[in-house]
Amino acid sequence: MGLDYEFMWKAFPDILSYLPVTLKLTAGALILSVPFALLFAMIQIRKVPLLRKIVSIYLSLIRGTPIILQIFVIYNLMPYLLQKYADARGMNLNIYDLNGMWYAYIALSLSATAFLTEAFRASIETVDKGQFEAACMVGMSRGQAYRRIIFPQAAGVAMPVITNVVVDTIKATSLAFAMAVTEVTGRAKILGGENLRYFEAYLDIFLVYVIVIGITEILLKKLEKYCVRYRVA
Amino acid sequence: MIEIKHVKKSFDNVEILKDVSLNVADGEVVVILGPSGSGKTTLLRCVSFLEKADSGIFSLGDVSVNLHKISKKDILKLRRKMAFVFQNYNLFANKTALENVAEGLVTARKMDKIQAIRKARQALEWVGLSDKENFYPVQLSGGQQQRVGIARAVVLEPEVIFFDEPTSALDPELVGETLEVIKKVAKMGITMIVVTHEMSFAQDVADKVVFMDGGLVVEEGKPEVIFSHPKEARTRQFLSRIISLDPVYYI
Amino acid sequence: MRTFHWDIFLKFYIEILPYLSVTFSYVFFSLLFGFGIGIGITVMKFSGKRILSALASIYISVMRCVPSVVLLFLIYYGLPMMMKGEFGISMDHIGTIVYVIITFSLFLGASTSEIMRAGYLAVGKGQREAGYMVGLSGWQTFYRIIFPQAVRACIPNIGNIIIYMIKEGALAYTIGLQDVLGRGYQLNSLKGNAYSAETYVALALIYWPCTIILEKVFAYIEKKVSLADMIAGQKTEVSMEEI
Repeated sequence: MGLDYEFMWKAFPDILSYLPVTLKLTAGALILSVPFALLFAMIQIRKVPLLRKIVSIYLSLIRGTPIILQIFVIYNLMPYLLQKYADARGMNLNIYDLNGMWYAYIALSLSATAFLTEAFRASIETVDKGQFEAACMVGMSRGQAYRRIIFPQAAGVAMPVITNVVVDTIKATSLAFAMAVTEVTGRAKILGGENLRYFEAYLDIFLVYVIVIGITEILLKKLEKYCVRYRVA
Repeated sequence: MIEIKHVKKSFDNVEILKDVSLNVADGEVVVILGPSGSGKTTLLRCVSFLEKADSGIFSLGDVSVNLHKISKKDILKLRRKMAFVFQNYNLFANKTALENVAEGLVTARKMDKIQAIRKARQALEWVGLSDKENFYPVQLSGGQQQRVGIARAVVLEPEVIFFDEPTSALDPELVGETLEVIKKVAKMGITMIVVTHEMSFAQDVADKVVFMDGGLVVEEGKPEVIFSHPKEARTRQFLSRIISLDPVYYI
Repeated sequence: MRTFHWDIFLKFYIEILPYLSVTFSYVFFSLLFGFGIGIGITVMKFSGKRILSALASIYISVMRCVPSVVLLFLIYYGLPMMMKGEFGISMDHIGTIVYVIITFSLFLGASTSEIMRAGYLAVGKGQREAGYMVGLSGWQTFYRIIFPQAVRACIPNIGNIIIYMIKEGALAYTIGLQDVLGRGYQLNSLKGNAYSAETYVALALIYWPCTIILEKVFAYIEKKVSLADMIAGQKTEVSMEEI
């Protein structure tokens, strides 16, 4: 069907050179979301009165809206509102100086946070209550019991969902073009447009994503095996 | 010396402990008997703060606390003087037998890791499980798990160990090995409060037997007295029902 | 802080709302064709033929690895090129929504086959053995015993993929489709992006209730079906006695 193989071949390394941006976006979003997700999960588990309601509304809102809409809000609206706020408070601050990557991290972390919260909460709740009691009775504090006994056991249960969240976050980085961040997909779009070879450019990134996500899944599968090593048959 | 005074506890308006008081001397082995639902387990769980009592005083040595109003700090302090052996063992699923025993020493007692491991090894040897130190709980039989549970308690050198029906979840053939280890603990002179249905164990090991029913202590005394000359009708009734059954099969 | 223009918000909301029909049509058709592909993939997977089941697995994994926009662009740019190059058919007059439906049918083919597999596996082996032992044939056991139970196990997941579809379909704006998000995007652009806040709130207040309603509906169906099954079970017992 008349594919321009030469273009595909030439564009591939060019596109690949933007893979670090994709990976950075993914890592940034995930690093940002883990502490919040843990906090939100604990709020739900401990049934903290008002906060629990707020967290549920957050979860429902994120689950209920397209990720691209979340990106629009964070990228197009948030800086504007922040700037207005800063001006109103007389702060000498230029929000637009902030690196665009930060908006991308925040926008992508919104849904990662929501889905990780669910994963953490559900997995922590599967750990038998007796494990916590036993930890208390050898003299551990609540924090020690969670860190040394509950979290390690919950991790094994949560790993499949965590893997899904990581994969979904990598895929979501392909929307970063909507935030003027050029990563793999953004680069393909540009190259495709310059040469009017969209299809070939997207075939290239199709390959990139299959390889990157494939490798990610293999690595996370290994990690999962390690997390559940104590469940030897 | 342990003093438990006027402990009360209700769950959803059902009074489980109506007003329980109990004194235990240092080194004494106390066995609590009673039909299910009599509040034995709840009593153990209240004095180890796994349940919050509605009221009551608990003293261990020179520390005395109100069971209803106690700070997290005091709970931690007191718990570091006690140990608990659970009905379902509750071994840490993500840790090996050796790690289970060493965990409390390292994390809670801040003992040097190498020293803790050495002590944990000794404890495992003491319960006859040296060859299983690198096994995870799922790889051990119920009896072996409970022996690790006992080692985990003993290694802490607590002032008191609570045993909550330590053999009731075990298959009949594994009860014996576990009871042998508990008897060994009793001989060490650690104060023990044991909730069990094992009559022969109570007869052999207990310094004092406490009979509970309906959230109250009905009768207490030396085992030979309670078993042969129970004063209360409820005790007699309970004992006659139990003793007519083969103790091994009554679980 | 700038005031929120309620009148603009309301105007946008009313103007965007009818475009739900576009969203729902690609959701419906993608599900329809997606299930078709999904059945094919599932049959391949359980065919017992090594090559077929390997192909099915590869299809599922690849679909899992591809971002929606990437496949959407591939189909949008690639399909007309292929049709023209290979068959000399022009796709110029084909509506944008067709590309969206093709793209998401391909995705849903993979996810529905995963759901079917999970549903099938959720029915215990004992059910099949019991079916055989009361003298049912393989096919009878499947459609009288396994299938109804598997369908029930699938229900929450079907709800989830519909919700996924509604949200992910919003990306169709990138190829210029006017669905809910696409219409909102356009309205906002026409006003020089001056009313972003109003647009986004309007969009959120269209998508969010849809998801909540769907979640509730599926929770209800799930409860209803398990109840209906129990009643049906009782009926069967009675008729058995009559025989």
